[in-house]
Amino acid sequence: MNNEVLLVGNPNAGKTTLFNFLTKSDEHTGNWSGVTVDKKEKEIFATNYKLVDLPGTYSLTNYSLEEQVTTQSVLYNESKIINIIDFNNLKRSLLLSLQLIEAGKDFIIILNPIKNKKLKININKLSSILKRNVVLFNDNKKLNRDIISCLSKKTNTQYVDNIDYFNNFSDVVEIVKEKAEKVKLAPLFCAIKSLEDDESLITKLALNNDEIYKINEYKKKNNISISSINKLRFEFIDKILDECLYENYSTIGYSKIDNLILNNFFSIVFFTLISFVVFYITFCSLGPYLSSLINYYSELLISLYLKLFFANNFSAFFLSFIFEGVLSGLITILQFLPQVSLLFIFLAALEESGYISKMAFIFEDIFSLIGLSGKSIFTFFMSLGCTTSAMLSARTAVNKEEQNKAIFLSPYFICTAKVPVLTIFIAAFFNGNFLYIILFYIISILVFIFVALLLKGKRKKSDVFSIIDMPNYNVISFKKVFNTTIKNALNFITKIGSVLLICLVLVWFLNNFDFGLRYVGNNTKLKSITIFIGELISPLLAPIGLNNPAIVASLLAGVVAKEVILTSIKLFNGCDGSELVSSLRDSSSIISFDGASAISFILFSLFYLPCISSIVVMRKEMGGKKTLKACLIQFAIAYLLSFLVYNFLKHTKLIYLMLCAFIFITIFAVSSRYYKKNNWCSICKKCKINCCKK
Amino acid sequence: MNLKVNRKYKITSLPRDIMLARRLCELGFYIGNIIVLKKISLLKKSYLFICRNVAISLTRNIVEELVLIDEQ
Repeated sequence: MNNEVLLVGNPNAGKTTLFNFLTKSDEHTGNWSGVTVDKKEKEIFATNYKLVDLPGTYSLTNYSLEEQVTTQSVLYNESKIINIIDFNNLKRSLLLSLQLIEAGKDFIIILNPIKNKKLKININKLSSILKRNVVLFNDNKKLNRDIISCLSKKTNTQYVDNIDYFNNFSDVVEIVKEKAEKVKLAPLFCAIKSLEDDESLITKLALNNDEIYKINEYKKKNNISISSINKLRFEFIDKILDECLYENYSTIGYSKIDNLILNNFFSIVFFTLISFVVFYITFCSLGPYLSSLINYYSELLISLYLKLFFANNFSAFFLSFIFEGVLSGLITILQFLPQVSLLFIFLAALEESGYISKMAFIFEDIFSLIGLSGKSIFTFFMSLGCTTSAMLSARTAVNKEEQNKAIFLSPYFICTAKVPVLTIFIAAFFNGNFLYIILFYIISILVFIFVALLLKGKRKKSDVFSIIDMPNYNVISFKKVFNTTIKNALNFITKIGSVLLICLVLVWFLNNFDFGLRYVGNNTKLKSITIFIGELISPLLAPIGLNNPAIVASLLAGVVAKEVILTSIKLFNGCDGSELVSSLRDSSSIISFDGASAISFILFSLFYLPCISSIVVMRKEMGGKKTLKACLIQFAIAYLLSFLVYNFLKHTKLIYLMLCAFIFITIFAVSSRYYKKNNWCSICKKCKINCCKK
Repeated sequence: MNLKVNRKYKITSLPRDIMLARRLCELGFYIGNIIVLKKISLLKKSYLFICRNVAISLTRNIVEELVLIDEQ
């Protein structure tokens, strides 16, 4: 007996919420489409059924990459299916249910009311028309039992007699029947898909010319088209709703608030205002205050422990390892927990409210100028939190090209791991003025636009269209926002306690031992491993004002995780948290900066390379070659930007200005020409070369 | 084509691209159906239609292929 149960439904229908409920898990849910981009599996609580949460899809047609995952799983598996239907979008959801019936699938329907308490629908009637069990999704403990009971029943997978439009295709069913049975697909489904000219299915069925001719003749004779087939489906859905709904049904989605939120002028004002409030609270008022509290108490604690250790006469080596190598570094990062948590709170609240989906509208046309669709805003929005998860969310893109582009561009945003570096440097060189933090966020957006334009080249916007789900506005659930923030904050702390801890110990080891494994400590005659490597590489960074082996070592450590940059600097300077800011300006410190080199360092550290986990995801999603290309381009851009800014600030001479302008124009022109020549058709400028010729 | 916000339009033809046409039909953009244009996007380079709680952004080229007839 196959115990696998597939969870399918439209995007944003509540699949992951049901998955969490049935399996007692805590997977991320959100009020926008595309939260789930890959399969997730777990056993239904207290049963031996394995529930598989699949990405949302509107139909059984492969369109986007994550829809392919769902379609393949549904069509080529004998597993039972749970089809979740959003009550607020019955018409749209029932289209997928109809296609599941066409495909002869054994499934049960879970009706999700989604905050719609007045559910005026006759569930029994719906069940009798579709010949499938229908269960209402509620928080009742009985739900698990009801679903298990339905799953254990064998439902009739034969076509439903009262779905009259099925008879329209009986002749084509006869034509494809034999081939359909060979590939273990329902003949009716294959017949309808053949009439819809689904090329992938026609290829799969291996229909011969004679069969294709007969199908085409049938289409002509009966005037059947993609449009007419879907018209039949929707007419049948209307009939179902007439019989099952107690009162008139109207879709929601677009509310009166949207007249304001999506207004051409107010949309931008509103977006700017929200961004300002988020940044002000996170970086200027509450965030720094909470950080200073953590810093104060942790330093107090350390000094108390230090006295205790000294009183017990521990060796300098041991004290250095514990306090400089481990505790001090961890606390440096931990003090940013309030700011990172505040950012998580705002991100979760915006997501929960439904505003993120509306942002996709606002940015649709703006993004089209740089060759992306408005939907990419989900990926870039997530990049503000964590680049790695943002890269995975790019699977919702309409095609591979757009997915790669979104992955390529997401590291240019300032993720929470880069926030500590940015905040400390702004505190050291700009008196902590949060407007400079905003300035660097703006710079990151400008760099993002520049790279996006480079990738776009001379290509015109293609006729790719985007589909964005319109969730209703939700009153923000504080419980949900709190839970999401706690989860993300715990991940941040876990990261500090695992990856960063190992990394810090490693950095401490490399900083304190030479290649002969002798402890360096304060011995000026010995050279630590990091200093040795740093001395080799640092001449390369001399043109950007960073020709200090210790800086190079910090940047190398930062590739593992960006937070390590700051802790490495602290290790080198041998200072505590409160002294870190002043040590960066103090020329007697091992790592110190002047104004120009500080800005150069900020820019370089923001863009030079993605962290290891992001590189792993990039390789998985785009392949090794493209990942290498992305990393090289990112490094080149970081280097170039730091070079231009550093030299401009350092010399402020006309010749440098002209040199900067010349370099920018040359790079832009060469790149555009490269993409035009190598990637895109010279005739239409929007297809891959050779497509046009075909 | 000069479309106006909040007006009803009847679809009389579909885009030539079969994949695109199939997806539009599945979302309610089939011939004979009436759709409402809710918002023309910020830079007015494309149109945003809302049909069954799904917003569909269509470029001008596609909208011209749809051949929309003003129903009001």
